[in-house]
Amino acid sequence: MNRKLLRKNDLFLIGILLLAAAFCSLLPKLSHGGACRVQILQDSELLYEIDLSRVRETVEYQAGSLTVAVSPEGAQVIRADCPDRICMQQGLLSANGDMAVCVPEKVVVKVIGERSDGLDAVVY
Amino acid sequence: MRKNWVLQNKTKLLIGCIVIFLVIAVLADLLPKKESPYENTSFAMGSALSVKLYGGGEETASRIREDVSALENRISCKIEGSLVSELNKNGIVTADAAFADMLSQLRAVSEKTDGAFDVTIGALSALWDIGGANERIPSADEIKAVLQVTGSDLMQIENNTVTIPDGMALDLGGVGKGMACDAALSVLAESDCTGAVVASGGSVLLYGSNPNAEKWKVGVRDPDGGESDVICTLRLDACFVSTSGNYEKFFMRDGKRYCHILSPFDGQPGESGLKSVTVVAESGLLSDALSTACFLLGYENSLPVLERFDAQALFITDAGEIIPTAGIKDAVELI
Repeated sequence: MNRKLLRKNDLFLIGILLLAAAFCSLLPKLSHGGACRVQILQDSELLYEIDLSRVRETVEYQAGSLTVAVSPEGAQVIRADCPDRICMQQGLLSANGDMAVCVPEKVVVKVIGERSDGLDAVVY
Repeated sequence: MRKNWVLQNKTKLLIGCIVIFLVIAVLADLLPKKESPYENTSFAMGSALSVKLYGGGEETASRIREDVSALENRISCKIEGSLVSELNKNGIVTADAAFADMLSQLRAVSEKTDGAFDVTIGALSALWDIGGANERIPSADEIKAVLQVTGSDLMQIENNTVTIPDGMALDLGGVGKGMACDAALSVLAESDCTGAVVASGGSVLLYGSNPNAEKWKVGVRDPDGGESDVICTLRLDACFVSTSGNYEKFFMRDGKRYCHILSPFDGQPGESGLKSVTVVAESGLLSDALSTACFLLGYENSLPVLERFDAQALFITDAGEIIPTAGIKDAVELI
């Protein structure tokens, strides 16, 4: 009994280590895609690509007459000079696959990455 | 002595833990990997062109962008110098066989949809200018005048020369996005891609197989919701899918909605008891053209037309009913 190899704390520590090992190994296989990124394009040219995980406060980006506010929650067209302003009506783009298009200015604002709802595409 | 024994065995235990860690890591690596697609977005055909490729990369995406752009430069009535703009301006254009064949095909689709789909409504579209700077409700006389020069049967195609009567104008906006998907298919067929999703506005090409060895999952927009709201999903194999709806582009006057899908029959915005129609077909040209035609024809009149093209559709009525045709009934999953 004097030669007791493992104390209660040792067993606890080993258990934690094994769980951490399993979690670290399996996480990349089970997760849904990478971090959210916002792309702002005009006439097919990529103007900005913003990694939302690195955004700490709201920053405004200019694309033609459009002003796009990017915050940790997502991106939103907040100003536009085009006549219909459909792009502004899209509201906050926060989920992967969300997109706002301004036809007159040829601007696309898109949250890229795998959709959390598992859809491959949306027809509208 | 006792301390040494415990230490030695604890070292063995630590090594054991590391071995187990490695075994778990190797086993996890053997699990099916989630393949990340190559994604690219650009602007074409008056909308976003989204390309998602499995087993392909920038080279294929770049070729798709180039080919769609080349197509747009030929068929857009909004691009000065395009073949369609030249035809609209001069009433005649001599082009290549591909252009003449395309217009012949569009004329045939018009005939087989009983005239509901028609690319010769350019003058009517310009009159209403829905979504444009001069959108308005035209007078009955103005509509009557443009309808006299509307109709694919008035378009003459001989050898590679196309002639249209004075006042007629072609507008391929109702089919351009679907044709962009057809152009993408030609590129993908020569590539190493095993699967791809190409979306040009509301038209989508589902190519090859889904990397998860399942059917592709396509969401159908909720006509009463926002752009990201989906009312149901369709589980589909490789095909083309297009939607036409009254929520896409419209204006309101005195509480009435005037949508951008115009009827070649009476010159008015479509009102057939439908909020949207989603068509599944063998080509992008057909899915796009048929979604427009079915939206104008209404549910009952669309069924024989869909049969002629061996196409399927999902109708969302003004009352909110979701009605799929028999061929895609099992593909529909309500949310």
